[in-house]
Amino acid sequence: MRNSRRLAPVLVLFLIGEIAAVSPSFGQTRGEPAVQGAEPLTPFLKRNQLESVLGREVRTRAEKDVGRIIDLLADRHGRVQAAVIEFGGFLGIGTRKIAVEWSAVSFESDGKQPVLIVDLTRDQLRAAPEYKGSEPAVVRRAFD
Amino acid sequence: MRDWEAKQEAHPTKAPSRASQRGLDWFTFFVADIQTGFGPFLSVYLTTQKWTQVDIGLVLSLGSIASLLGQVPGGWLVDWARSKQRAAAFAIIGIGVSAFLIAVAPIFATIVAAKLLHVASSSVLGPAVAAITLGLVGHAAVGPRLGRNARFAAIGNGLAAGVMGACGYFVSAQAVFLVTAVLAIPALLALSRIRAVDVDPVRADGGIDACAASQRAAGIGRLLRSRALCVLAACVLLFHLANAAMLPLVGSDVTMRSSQWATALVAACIIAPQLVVASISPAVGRLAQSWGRRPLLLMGFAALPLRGALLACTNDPYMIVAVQALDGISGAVLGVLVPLALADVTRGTGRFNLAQGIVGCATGIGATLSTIGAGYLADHFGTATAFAGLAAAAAFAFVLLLGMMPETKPADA
Repeated sequence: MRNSRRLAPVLVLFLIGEIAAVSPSFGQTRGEPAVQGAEPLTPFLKRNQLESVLGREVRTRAEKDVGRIIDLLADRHGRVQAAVIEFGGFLGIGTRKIAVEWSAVSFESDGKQPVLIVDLTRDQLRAAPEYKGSEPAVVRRAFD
Repeated sequence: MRDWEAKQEAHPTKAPSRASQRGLDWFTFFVADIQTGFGPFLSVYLTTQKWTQVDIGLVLSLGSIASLLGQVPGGWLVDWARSKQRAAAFAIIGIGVSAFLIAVAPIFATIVAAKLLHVASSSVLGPAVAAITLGLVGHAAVGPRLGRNARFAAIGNGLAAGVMGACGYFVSAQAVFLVTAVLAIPALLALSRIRAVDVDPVRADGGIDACAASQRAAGIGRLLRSRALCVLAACVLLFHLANAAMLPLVGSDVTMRSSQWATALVAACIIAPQLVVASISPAVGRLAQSWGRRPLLLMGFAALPLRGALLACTNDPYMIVAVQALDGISGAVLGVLVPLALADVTRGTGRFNLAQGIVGCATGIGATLSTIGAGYLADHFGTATAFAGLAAAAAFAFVLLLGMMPETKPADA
């Protein structure tokens, strides 16, 4: 009895794994019904319009390899408001984390792979206040 | 003359062969190389693999805790092992496998396992290198030899930081760990050049006092009753409490203050002290024989509060790099004098490596608290205050050393 209860979450995970393995559309946005009887997933954007952002390199308009997105900050409605960028240092020593207004970040395609551009200068980035998990200070883009 | 010295004279050991000495040179060089990528760079790599900050923090914390717990058993194991070279070889293989796992399978379970494997291997490897050194040359010549080790380790550290930094920047973060795994091979080759007959396993543990009734290694209690060992461990703890957070704080400061050259300047902050260590540590090893251990220890411990105070005062990134060179003085002294003083105080106990484990644990406690404390000070009162706080801890370490640490150099050496 106790055994079967402890197994239940494992089973559920296993089933999810199975569904993911069987159905290519699971977790994607193709729109075919994932499982018979389940709600069909509604397509809302084509796949090539979405990009994974965590761990991605970002650059400014002028410089390459400025830093890397390590976290996203969302408001209480779940809308992403800022990206946490880690930059600088050498061999991981002396890096800085800052939070940048999400609307200052965009994807641009330079031929093959889309690159993430942050619409701030490197000097603005390096002088920005350090991001601390407890009290996020977000760098805003200067509208000039 | 004490009995164990009589025993040593009864069985005079021949001077170690040139091949073994060369082998040890290269071994210390490659050991320094393979440890470079495992530091803060691991978190950069995991970030590129889309790890969340929570998971990265968890793995790093697990590693720190395991390291604190592993040091003393690691040292004990090296004392226990008959062949120090074999213990070192297993440790090198462990680190190589760990690097390979990190490179090929960056998923949570593998990374945790790889991190723990690395920690366990390192806690054996550190004492094992010093044990092989002592077993190879004996107490009379170990000072200069530790100086030579520190030189080769510093060259290894400096070169590896440069090469792996470039590798991470131009190739990929993953490549750094593949290079590390491959470097385990020359480390093993160098180790195999150290002839087994040249390393006396009893001498490598500090030798056994012949007048001790049982002819066995001393109990841990006897070790902990040694005032010199306790004071040294406390001073080392305070030293790392002051030292560990300084470089990351310096790097972060330079990143903030310099636009164009930030990366190169942070690299210089890491590599400059290694150049200093490489140039002065053989002299430190020789002087320890003529001056004794205390004056040199005091010099090394004095350099740290000075560095903290200067860093608290300066804003110029180039000046910061110059001040970082002071780290080389402390680095050379700690690298040579700490194992040397431990060899002094454990002479005749058969517990040289356990003592290294105890000091290694003190290092870990100091370093862990350093990051927490300096982080708090920097967040609430600014970087300059954090440097001042670290300098204060360093000054306390110096005063403790000045007031409590006896000269450990044997009268006859």
